[in-house]
Amino acid sequence: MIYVGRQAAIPAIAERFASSELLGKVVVPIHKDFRREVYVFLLKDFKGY
Amino acid sequence: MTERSYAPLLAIIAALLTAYRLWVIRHLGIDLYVDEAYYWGWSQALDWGYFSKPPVIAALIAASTALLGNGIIAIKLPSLLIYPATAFALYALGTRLYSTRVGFWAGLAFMSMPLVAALGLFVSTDAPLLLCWSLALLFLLRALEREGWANWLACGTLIGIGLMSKYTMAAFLPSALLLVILDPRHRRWLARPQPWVAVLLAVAILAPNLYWNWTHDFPTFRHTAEITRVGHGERGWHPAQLGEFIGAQWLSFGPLLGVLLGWALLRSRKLWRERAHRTLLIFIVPLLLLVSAQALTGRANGNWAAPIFVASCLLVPAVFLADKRRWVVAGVVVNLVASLAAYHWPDIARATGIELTAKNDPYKRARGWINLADGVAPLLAEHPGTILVGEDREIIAHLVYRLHPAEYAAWNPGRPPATTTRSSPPSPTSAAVT
Repeated sequence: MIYVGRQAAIPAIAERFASSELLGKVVVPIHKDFRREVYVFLLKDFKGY
Repeated sequence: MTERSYAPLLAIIAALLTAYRLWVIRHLGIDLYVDEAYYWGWSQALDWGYFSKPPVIAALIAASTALLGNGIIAIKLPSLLIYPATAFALYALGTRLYSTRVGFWAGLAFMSMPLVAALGLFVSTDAPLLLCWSLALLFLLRALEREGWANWLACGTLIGIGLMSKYTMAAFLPSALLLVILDPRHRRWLARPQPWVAVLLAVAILAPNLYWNWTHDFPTFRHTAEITRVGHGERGWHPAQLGEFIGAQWLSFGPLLGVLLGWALLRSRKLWRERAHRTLLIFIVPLLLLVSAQALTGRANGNWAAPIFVASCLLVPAVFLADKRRWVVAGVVVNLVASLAAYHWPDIARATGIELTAKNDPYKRARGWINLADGVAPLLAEHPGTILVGEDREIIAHLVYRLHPAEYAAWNPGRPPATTTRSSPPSPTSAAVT
């Protein structure tokens, strides 16, 4: 699964999977005080809730 | 003597204003707002209901995008076209109740309203709601004054489609009943089958959505209850909320037209004596009081009473054109100038050396999403066959719109597991990770 979210770390989600890897951060500057920013993770082998 | 027709002039103004709004969307460089991306997701899997709204908005977007592709303009187009159509419904109503002149100014007041200027830039459920409300009122007035079934059936059909657009349409029914009861000339209809068959027809049109809700644990009703705080123990006394709501109505109608509307409402007792004015007051006051009470005791968004502006756009010119014409004209001009200023605020800021920031850019919520999705795209492409997952509905809605992933899901541990595929997606928030 590819997880996209606003947080740089997702321990509560990552622990539900056998492995998690940060693939990258995407930043779109809009104004000097405003930008869109997401972190993209690869999550493998869902263990269940 | 026949009255002068203002329809061609209104058509020219409506066409110019709509073309200008289309240009403004491009000029502003905005993407979709989150709700629009969300509605587009719905339009990819037509159903009788969705998480937060009935299905008409999804059907409209599906029709538009089937013809014109999935571009931003195609998604926004239904609203852009429906608002001018509503202005013509108001023209017909004004002509029926008063004169073509009142109808013309009602149509113009509607097209220039800040609410419509703002909503005109994005697709929302208010567009079909206001059109259905206006046309249902037109056919109701025709039905009350003519024998036969056709106008009643048209009225019932429009109420049904309005309900399938937004449940606020239900407020039309008590106002219609009041109109029939309070006018002695109309009371005879209470003993006739036509009005009741019209109501049954409206309920029949809504029935598939009710069934969908029943089979999906009533998500739309639960969402509506949540956003109004009903049933969540948060009811109380909120005068500030009421003040905010009334202020929003004033600004939605326009600074000057809002003052004229307030003035007219303060003169309600006098206006009540005239039948046409009374008809309009019946379609303003009950819904305004109901949503004001909702604001006072819970929470009400500024657009929840939007249908009151249908009758308000008629009432203001009807009351003030005769001896305060300049005020009505000035009210419309102020609205148009305010819209121009809002649409061109980024240009004005640039020209005057004001730097746009998060605090002064009213369009920031619709900026940057396509670029963001394009930044995520290569990472997704490197891992074919993966499911796109997120817990932020805003991010997921925009990524799904731009990237068209084969499968996507909301990270929502509290929900029953279900993934969503492009061929059979329910909605981003109704899915959860398997």
